[in-house]
Order: sequence, then C-alpha cells, then structure tokens
Amino acid sequence: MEVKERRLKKPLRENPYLTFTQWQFPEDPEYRIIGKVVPPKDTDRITGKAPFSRDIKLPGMLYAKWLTSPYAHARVKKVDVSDVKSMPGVYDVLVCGDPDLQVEGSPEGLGVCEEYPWGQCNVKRPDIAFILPCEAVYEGQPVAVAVAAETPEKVDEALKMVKIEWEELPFVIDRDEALKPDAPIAQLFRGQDVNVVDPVAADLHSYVPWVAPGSDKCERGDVGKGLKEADRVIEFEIKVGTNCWGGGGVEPYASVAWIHNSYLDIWFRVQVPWMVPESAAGAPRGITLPIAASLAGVPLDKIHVHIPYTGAGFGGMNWVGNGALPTLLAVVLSKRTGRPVMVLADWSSFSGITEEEEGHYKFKVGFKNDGTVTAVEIWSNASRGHAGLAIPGCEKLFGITTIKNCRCESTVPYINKAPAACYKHGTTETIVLNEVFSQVAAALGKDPMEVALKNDGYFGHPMHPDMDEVKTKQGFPLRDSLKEVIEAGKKAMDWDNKWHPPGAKKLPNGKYHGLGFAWADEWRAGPWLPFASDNPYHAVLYFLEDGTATIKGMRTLIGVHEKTTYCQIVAEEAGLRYEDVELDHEFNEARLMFPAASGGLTWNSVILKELGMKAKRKLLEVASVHFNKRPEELDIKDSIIFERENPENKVTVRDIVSRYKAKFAGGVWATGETVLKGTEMPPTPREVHHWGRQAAFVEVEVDPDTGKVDVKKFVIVNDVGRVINPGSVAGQQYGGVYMGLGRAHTEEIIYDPLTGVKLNDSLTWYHVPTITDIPRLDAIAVETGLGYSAYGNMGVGEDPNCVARAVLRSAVYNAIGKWIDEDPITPFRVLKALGKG
Amino acid sequence: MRTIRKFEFLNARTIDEAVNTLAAYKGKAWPFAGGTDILRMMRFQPLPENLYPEVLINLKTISPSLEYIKEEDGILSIGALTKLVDIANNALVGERYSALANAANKVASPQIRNMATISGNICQLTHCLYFSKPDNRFHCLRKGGSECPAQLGDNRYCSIFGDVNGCVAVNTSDIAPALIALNARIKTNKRMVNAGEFWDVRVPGSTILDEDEIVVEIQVPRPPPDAKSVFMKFSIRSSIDFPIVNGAALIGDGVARIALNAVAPKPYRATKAEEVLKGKTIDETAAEEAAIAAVSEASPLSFNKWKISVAKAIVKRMVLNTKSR
Amino acid sequence: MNIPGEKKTDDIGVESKNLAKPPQIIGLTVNGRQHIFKVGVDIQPNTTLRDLLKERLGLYSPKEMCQGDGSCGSCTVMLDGKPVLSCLTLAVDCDGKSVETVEGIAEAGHPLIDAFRNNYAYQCGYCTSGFIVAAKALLDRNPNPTDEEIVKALSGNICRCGAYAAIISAVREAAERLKGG
Ligand SMILES: Cc1cc2nc3c(=O)[nH]c(=O)nc-3n(C[C@H](O)[C@H](O)[C@H](O)COP(=O)(O)OP(=O)(O)OC[C@H]3O[C@@H](n4cnc5c(N)ncnc54)[C@H](O)[C@@H]3O)c2cc1C
Ligand code: FES
Ligand code: FES
Repeated sequence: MEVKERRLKKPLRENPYLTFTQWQFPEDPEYRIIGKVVPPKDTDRITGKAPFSRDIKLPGMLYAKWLTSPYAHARVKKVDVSDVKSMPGVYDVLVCGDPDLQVEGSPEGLGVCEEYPWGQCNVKRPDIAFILPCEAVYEGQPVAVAVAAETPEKVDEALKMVKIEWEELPFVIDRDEALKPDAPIAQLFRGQDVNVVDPVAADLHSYVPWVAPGSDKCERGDVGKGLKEADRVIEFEIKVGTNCWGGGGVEPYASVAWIHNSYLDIWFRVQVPWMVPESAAGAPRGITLPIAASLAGVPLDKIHVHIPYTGAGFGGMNWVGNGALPTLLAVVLSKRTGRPVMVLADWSSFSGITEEEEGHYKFKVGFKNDGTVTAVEIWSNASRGHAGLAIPGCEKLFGITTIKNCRCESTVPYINKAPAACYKHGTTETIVLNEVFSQVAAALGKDPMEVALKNDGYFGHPMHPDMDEVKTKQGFPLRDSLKEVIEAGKKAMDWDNKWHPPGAKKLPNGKYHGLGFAWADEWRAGPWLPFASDNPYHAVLYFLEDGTATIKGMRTLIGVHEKTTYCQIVAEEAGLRYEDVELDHEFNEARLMFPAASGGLTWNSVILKELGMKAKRKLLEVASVHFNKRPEELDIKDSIIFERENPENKVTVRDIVSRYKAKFAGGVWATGETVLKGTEMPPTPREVHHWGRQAAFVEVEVDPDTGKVDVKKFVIVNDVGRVINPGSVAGQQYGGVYMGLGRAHTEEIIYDPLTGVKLNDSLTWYHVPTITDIPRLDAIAVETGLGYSAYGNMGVGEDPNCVARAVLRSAVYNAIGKWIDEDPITPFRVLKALGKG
Repeated sequence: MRTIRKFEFLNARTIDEAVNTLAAYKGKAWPFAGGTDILRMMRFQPLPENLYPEVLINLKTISPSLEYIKEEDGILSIGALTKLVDIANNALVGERYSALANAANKVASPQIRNMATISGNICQLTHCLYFSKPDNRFHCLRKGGSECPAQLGDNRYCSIFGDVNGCVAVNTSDIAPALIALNARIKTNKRMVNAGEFWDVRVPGSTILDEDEIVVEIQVPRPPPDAKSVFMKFSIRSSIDFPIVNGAALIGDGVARIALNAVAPKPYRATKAEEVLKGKTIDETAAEEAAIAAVSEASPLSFNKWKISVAKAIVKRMVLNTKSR
Repeated sequence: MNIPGEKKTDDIGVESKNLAKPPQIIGLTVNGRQHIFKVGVDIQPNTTLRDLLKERLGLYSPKEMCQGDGSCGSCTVMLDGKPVLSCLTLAVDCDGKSVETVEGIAEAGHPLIDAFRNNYAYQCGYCTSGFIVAAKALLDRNPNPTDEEIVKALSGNICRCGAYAAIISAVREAAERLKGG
C-alpha cells in the first residue's frame, strides 16, 4: 500500500527568535477526521477551570508533607517530635520505622533490587520495606518524619519543630568514584559491601532475552573478530545524561487519599494509575495501587481512582518515589487520621532525578574505510534507570543497526544521588548510537549521513533486502524511512551548501559555525503491543440518549491531546461527528489502553479503531431492524445512518439510540486485537520491527570567547507513519526539540562536591529554555505507514527530544573541531575545551 | 509551595515614619519595596533564625510617592520606588542614559520588572548558590558563619576578583554597574553616596546602609553629549536569568568609565581598563587592550576560570559598542 | 498575630504617631467582583495574592510550577492591568487594586481563549493560564504587537512542554481577531 508523503511545513515568516510553522495540511480524502486539525477537546486547560491535583479540596481534608534530608547520606539516630505533636492544628506525626509505614509481601515494586531507594529494605529481608526510611541516600530524599495538619502552613511550622539527631555518613556522587575499591558504601540499607547493583536481582534477562540470565552484558557476534576486520579502530569516552532534572519541574506532586466506608478514594498525579499484569513484562508497572490497597487494608477493587488534570509528566512518574510515594503516604495518614489527606511534595525531592542511563561510557569502535562499522565495544557505569531498561545505552545500537559484532557491558553503581528515570525516554541510547557514527564519520572525514545510511538496519540485518522481505510479508510499504527523513531534512537545512570540515568556518561575527546531524528510530510500545493473549487493555463506548457517545476507560491525561486524538479515531471509524464523541478518562472499570505516553497512541489507536468499528457495527445492527435492511446495506456518516442505495432514507444516531435504548446497555467493548496494520502478525513481540526513523539537523554558532552555543536553525524530521492529529504531532516535535536542546546545553543540576548537596534546584538557576531561547525550527512529518499500529502510525512523543539531545554534540564538534566529552554543553565546558576555562 | 514565614506588615506614610519604625525595631524591621527579593528569601529561608526581619515596612505607601523619573539641571532623578519597567520604557532614560534603561530592561522577567523597584534591585541580597540554598543549609560567612563553602565547592559562578572578608559570592544586580558607569549618586534619608561606594559585603546585606536608612532617590548626572553608554549582560538564558557577568560603560568626550558586576563580591570598577582607554581612539586594538587590562587582576577559583574569558569579551564588546553611534 | 520577639510600640518609647501602621482592611476587585478581607482574620500579612485567589476565592488558575521562586510565570495574574507574579505579591499590599485572572478573561470571551485552542497552543496546560494572562496584558497595551514584542512579553513564562511557537501563533491570531480580522 502506498501512503503518500505529506510535508507538514509551511514557514510563515522569520524573526530573530524563531520561525514557526503554520500547519497546513492537504486533506486526505480517505478520512473525514483523521489527519485533520480539529478543535482540541480538553479546553478547560485553557480557561483556568481544569483542576490539577493540588486544586482538589475535600471537606475536612488535612495537608501533609515529609521532611527532606539535608545530607547526601545520613542516618537518623534520634527523632524527637514531642513539641510537634502538641502543636495546635497538627493531627498526625509519622516517624520512620513506624509499623504503619511497613509494606510486606511485595516490596519488589518499592525498588529494593533496582536503583530506587525510596522504599527501603535490606537484601536480607526483601519481604519488608519502609516507605519513609531512616537512612537518606541523597540530599532532598523524603526521610524520617511526615506531618499532617490543618493547613500547609501549619505543616511547615510543625516540620520546623522536629528535632533530629543525624549520623552523617560518607557519601559518593560520582559514578567512577563509587566503583573504586575504597569507595564509601553509598546505600547502607541494602546490606551490601560494594556499591555495585546486583545484575541477578535486576533480572535483565526477563526483559531483554539476549542478555544472559544474571548478566550485565549483552553481546552479538564476535567483537574481537570485528575489530580485526576493521580498517581502523578508535577509542573515546563520554559522560552523558548527567545531572539534568528529569522532570524539569512542571506540576509539583500532590496526592489525596481518603479511606471511608471500607473504600479508598485516591486523587493523584501519576502516569500508570493501575497495575499492569505480569504478562506485560517490562511495561511501566503501576505499582501504586496494590501497595496502597495493602497499606489501607482494602481490597484492590475497592479503590476508586480519580485522575485530575496532570501537568507534563514526560514519563518517570510511574516509579515509587516519583508517582507513588506521595500517594502511599496519603493513604497511611488517612488511615490513621480518618480524614482525607493531601500530601504535598516540594521539588527538592524530585529535582535530582536525572535521565535514565546517565553515566560514563567508554567506546572502542572498528570500521572499514567505507564507513561500515564492524565492531563496537562499550563499557559503562551508567544508571539503568529502572530494571526494565537492561544494559544502559545499548538498545538502539543493537536494535537498529547492521553492526554484526557488538558488546555492551555495564557495572552499575549505587551512588548518593536521586535515582534516574525516563523523561522522554531514549536520550542516552540515542546519544550512544550517534556518538558511534559521528565519531566514525569524523575520523573518516565523511558526511555523517552517509555513515548512518550505511549502517542502518535491524538487529544486525541490513534494511535491504532482508527487511524488504519482511515488510512485504507483513503487508507494509517498501519504503526506506531513514533515506526519506534524511532527504527531507537535508533539503530544509540546505546541508550540502552549508557543510564544512570541523573547525573550518569562522563567521564575520567572530563565532564558529557548525552543523550537526543525528538520527534514531521511532519509539513506541514495542514488545508490549497487544499480542499477549491476556492483553489487559481495553476501552468501552457508551451511547447516550442525546446521540453522543462517550469513550470510557482509565488513562492519565498527561497533555498529549489524548482526548482529542482518541475521539477523532472513534468518530472516524464509527461514522460519528467528532463533536459527538467524548472521553471519560476516570472510568475505573476499564483500564483504558496503554497508559504510558511512549507509544500511547500507537497502541491505543489499535484499541480505538476496533472500538469505533464495533460501535458502527452495533449501530448498524440495531438500525437494521429499524430500516428493515441488512446491516451491510446501511452506512453511517456524520452521525446519520442511511441506506447505501438510497441515502435519502436516513435517520440520526440519536433517534436510533433513544428509541432502542436497551440494545445499547452495557456499551461496546474493544481490546484492539483485530486491527493491527500489516497482514501478518509477527511471531513474537520481539519481531515487531522498528522501521521508522527520525532525524535532527542543527546549525549552531559557537562564541569562542563566551563559550555560548547559539542554535540558529533546527530541522526535525519525524517519520510518524501517519499523522492522526497534526496539532498534536507538531506539539510533540516542538516540545521535544526544546526539551532536548535545553538538556543538551543549558540545563544542569549542580552538586556541591564537598557535601553532595544540590545547589540549584530552582527554576531560576536550573535553566529550562524560555521563549527567547528557542531556535528557528522547521518541523517536518514524514508518513511512511511503517508502524505496527492501526494506521501504520508510530509514536512521536519521545524521539524529537532524543535526537535534539544528541545532535548538538556533533554540531559543536563541527564548529570548534573538538569533542566535548561531558554534557550538558554549557559555556563552561565549551571554554574548557577551548583551553579558556 | 512553602509558606512565607511570618512577619508583621506596616504601611509607612512618610519617609520619617519608615525610618523611625526601622530604628525602633533595631534591625528586626526591613524596608519593603516590590517584595520580589525579600519574599522569596522569606519563603525559602536561607538565613539563620536570628537574621530574619520580623517586620516589613512598606515604602510604597509613602507620600509624596517615591515613584518618579525627572530630569532637572542636568541631573536625572529617579525615585527609589520607581519600577524597573518604567525605567526601561522611559524615553528620556533610553535616549540619554541608555546603559541604565538597557540594564533595567534586562533584569529578570517582564513580570518581575513590573513589580521590582530600583532601590530593591540595588539592595538585593546576594544570590550565591550556597548562600541561597534553603533552610540555612550552608551557614556561610554572610550569615555569621565561619567559612565560605564556595571557596572549595562548585564556584563556577563566583567571584573572579578574589574574596571580601573571605566571601566569594557575587553581587548580581544588573542596575549596579550601570549606576557606577554613569557616575550616579544614591540619596538616602541620611546622606548622599557615590554609586561606587554604595555596595558592601555584610551579614547578610550587600550595601552600606544602616538599619534605619533607606534609599530615597537615585541621581544620575547627564553624560557629556559625545559620550555613549552601554550595558551588556551574559547569562545562560536570555530571560529570567541572573547575570553571570554583566557590565556597563560610559565612553567618549574624554570620559571612560567601565564597571562589571557578578564578577566580585561588590560591583567591580575596571579602572585599569579605563586608564588604557584614556586619550585613545576606540578601535579593535584599544578595545582588546582594555579588555585585557580589565581582567588583569583576576584570579580564578577552582571552577570559574571561564568567567574571565567571558568578562574580557564583555568589556571588549562594550568598548567597541560605544564607538558605533 | 504573635511574633516571637515582637516589640510593642509602647516598649519602644517612640511616639507611635510617627510610626508605620498595619493595614486593617483590604478591598480588591477580582475579575470585576469586589471583595473585602480583614487583615488578621481573613488574611494574614504573609498571605500571598495567589493564596488569596486560590484558598479564599476558589480560583484554580494561578499555578505554582516553580513553587513561589519567581522564575516560572505560571502564577501570573494582572494587577491593575499589569502582569505580576501572584506568588510574590502580598494580599495586604493589594488594597484598592483590581485583579484579573484567566477565569475572568475566559468569562469575558476574549479571543485569546479561542486562539489558544485553534493553534494547539497548549499541551498539559499547566503553564497556560500564566501565558494567557501575560498575553492579555500585552494586547491590552499594544493591540498590534510584532513577533519580537510578543516574545518579549512572554519571556517570563516557562513552558516545559514547549508550546512556545504555537503560543506565538495564538497571540497573533487573537491580535488579528481583536482588530476585526
Ligand atoms: C526569578 C528572578 C530572577 C531575577 N533576575 C535578576 C536579574 O537578572 N538581574 C537583577 O539585577 N536582579 C534579578 N533578580 C532580582 C530582582 O531584580 C530583585 O528581586 C528586585 O529588583 C528587587 O526589587 P524589589 O523592589 O522587589 O525589592 P524588595 O524585595 O522589596 O527588596 C529587596 C531588598 O532591598 C531592600 N530595600 C528595598 N527598597 C529599599 C530602600 N528604598 N531602601 C533600602 N533598602 C531597600 C529590602 O529591604 C530588601 O532587602 C531576579 C529575581 C528573581 C525572583
Ligand atoms: S509560582 Fe513560579 S513565578 Fe510564581
Ligand atoms: S503546556 Fe505543559 S508546561 Fe506548557
């Protein structure tokens, strides 16, 4: 099937700050609603009417906060809360070690075996964990005491009166240092005598089959042989991902819990509001509810979940500390006080949560003179983020290249910094991937795109002819995504005219000019697509008497216009008007679709398409009685049911639904197993291929006196398979690029080397780009239809950030002729590389 | 969000009332202008308990109002409570005192410029990362402590011109260098102070003001007709950010005054650079020489050598900018 | 209110008529409606304008991305027509002033609301009220802004989702609509 390519770009005009794109789309006759700019649904977000977690108010509600550790590593020796308990307005004081804070049975989710220290237990007693620990393993960690009182102000005053005797402990925040033999033990509660994360416990094998059980290594082919075959071998090191503030601080966390009449009601800021069953291994686990249920002493199905509007999450909200801790604490406090309790969390507890896979990487790369990479060997001490992500940095290198021989090995240390988590996942993998090709291209003096194309593939296989065969078999178009995105981007950047050797172009304004290119595959739900026979995700459609329909299911609205796109798909497939479809995202009886943003629409479009189709079938079946025709003889368009042969014979959906009410009781249910794009199901989830490609092109000017990197022009090209909603695609492209660029060269948490304390976790000194700091950006969407989904679509939530994050490195190299071996590329580091800092 | 710590709020109707009340509370009352610096401090509470104000005295209720801009007899007078936005947008200031208008225009963000006053800006506390870490996490010299944690810590934004009494925190006011370059005077209820002598390194303050002294007016002599004044700021982002290095210069008509800020505990007058420029026509070489001279006395800490390069670039560019008319 | 170490004017020995006095009553207009608050009863000296709008008047729109640090703009409201940070404004300092929030802007049917929707100028929406207030203040003062003026007026607001480019388009569209375009 041929899907035509649509360029989603039409620059309006330029100004010194940016050009922005007015989105204009050629209409696709195939669809009425899909691919069109429709008015977005959740407009409460604009009018100030949208309640976020902190806006929730219940009668008699108490407020609570926890204490944060002033030390990078310390143990609580003695807590004296006698003055606090008697303060007016104080209802409860919880001290670490209290049995009410103890979780038994399933503490795995609390991060014992992973790098998550939020809930702590000893390796010797992994069956018991405490959610408010007595040992703080980083500065800002919730620790020791939590207080519930009438007002937030009273809580603040009460926490000030807590007297704690600390035992300050030696700490280590540098990953290299942590692995040295004489390093202090960073996290005593684990009961280990080294700082190394135990790969057996992390159980990487269960997630990525090609990692041997109990190993911290993954390997393909024979690296020794590959290095021998090489014409040249280069070695280099980088420190990446370090010290960005993953969440970047949008909506501060708050959770409300209320135990009443043996029910537990929860309002929270979380990404996966429910438990994902074991079968979806590797999918972000919604661990909050099972633990909450056990703490509250109520059965799981007696929890009512409420999901207020959610300020940008970008991932990372799922894990205990980030998403669950405020909620779990609220549950405990509600149980103890008998009142609804809102737990308010300040940024200091979260600002240290970096990007997953941050760390030090050492590379050895062998390649032929034509750019073919024959072997890659990587060692890293990077964080794993969470156990699901296997060997840091290797996933893309293994997954989307032809490289026959590679080995990634990691030794992951525990350190005294907040854990790493994914925020627009994939940045570090993308950096690792691009570092290999950029360095090879630089060593050979070749165009980096030539090297990328040479090595583009899938699990060691070349794109042609191997993948062509698979594509044909599975019913996909024979298109080459990387070629297409490169072509589009090169042209938009005017690359050929601007390209020059590293350090070779000084501009009249005294700055160095640089160009950069980076690429990656598309990100989507990958192995968690609804192949599993026990696919846990589904949605329900209810028809209402007024002729409208409501999609029901649970899902956190994290701000990717999911209400809008979901309604577009259902309206499209069911033949309804877009205005007539709504989404109720707080429906506790259906775990709507895939919860995470990564590939959210990729998966959910599958469920929604089926839902729309089933809804249409249902309507036609019921209408067939009315028309006295067979369903096949009828059709629906714009919420009107008509006879195909004689469209004048028609009736509104509203009439049918109100007249035959009973027939629609119970709604229509869909799980999405039937409408995958492609004719043949891949035999295993692992063979869901990543054929979509993304590319970023950047033009920079580097000031050699101030070290400032000015991004002059940025071109982002995303193969999204098919655009469901242009406004939402554009939003992800722009937003991802700005975030990636911010992390690449302005955003950095600074740690005091002597205390391990974060020095700048405020939005004043942690530099999230403002509207004046964004570059001219051309965003181009390519639609190859190469995604495993309902419409050949693929995710675009994360790649723009990933490639933007990676691309600046090579552009700065091209400008100044020197690699910067540590990011972010702040003026400080540029001047250091130039010998001036 | 943390609650702002408790205080008593008093409206002053006259300068006398304000000053009397300050005196009565013996250091426990602070003047309150736009509130942007003071309230942030009262929320995040970087100070030890003994140093917080218990009373804030609102100067905005003083009448006649201290919010005005006028020029008389070759002197620009700006009332202490004039908002930065009004200075930035004032045509007269923009034309004849452009360094000051540009500096005001570069402070923080539009919202803060709508709230913040010129006196508040020049009296702001230091924003050293160690000093400002909430809950008095670092009990440093500026809080009556015994050591400066930045000396051995991450001092990438700290002073490149050494310490004052051991402190290497920098003064981050954008207005300060403009006032020094323009040879302004600061009028208080007690005295008239040259801008160059207004700043100090105190516990916790950054000016020479007594506890019962308030700024009432800023006076700027009109620069000679052929002199040009410029302001330049280096920061990571182009909005919201405090300066990492900033500077102002007034050059021409036989005058050369250059001031830098955020490079030392007090605003730094680059007298060496001024000397280099005396009697020289401004060109690339002169500007480069001035820039080298401006940082000739710099001595970097462990993490901030890069700021010397930035400071040098700022001086050179400012000097060259005064040439192009 | 009882402040530790507070000195009563009697103890100080200065004539109290020469001293500054605490405000008693604060009257302000919020989105066109008038409100009166008693200091020490309804509000305290340390009550911010943001607290007042949220806790007293039940408005959701002033947010707290930076938690009162002054560095995000998500709490922006208009005070006497100018955008200010409600997290760093004291309620006791607002006597006689008029406040406008997004709720009021939306209620009045300002074209910015539609323009933000048409242009997909928001994602999670957490920053949006701050941006709309800043944009409204700009358009009130300058109905025909250039791109540079739009960018400058919005430079005190952070959007982590990165809706910036779309926000500029929205403000332009609203400006055109106000001109009758
Ligand atoms: C996010 C953020 C970014 C910032 N970025 C910058 C920047 O880039 N450049 C910059 O220069 N500043 C910056 N600032 C600081 C800002 O400029 C100051 O907060 C502001 O100028 C202070 O003015 P104010 O009127 O609000 O002062 P207030 O907060 O009212 O007072 C500040 C101090 O001055 C004292 N004071 C005020 N008026 C008088 C007077 N008349 N006499 C004696 N003492 C007085 C007060 O007691 C207090 O100690 C930033 C602040 C924030 C929050
Ligand atoms: S909350 Fe961020 S500026 Fe007010
Ligand atoms: S839309 Fe999410 S922060 Fe702006």
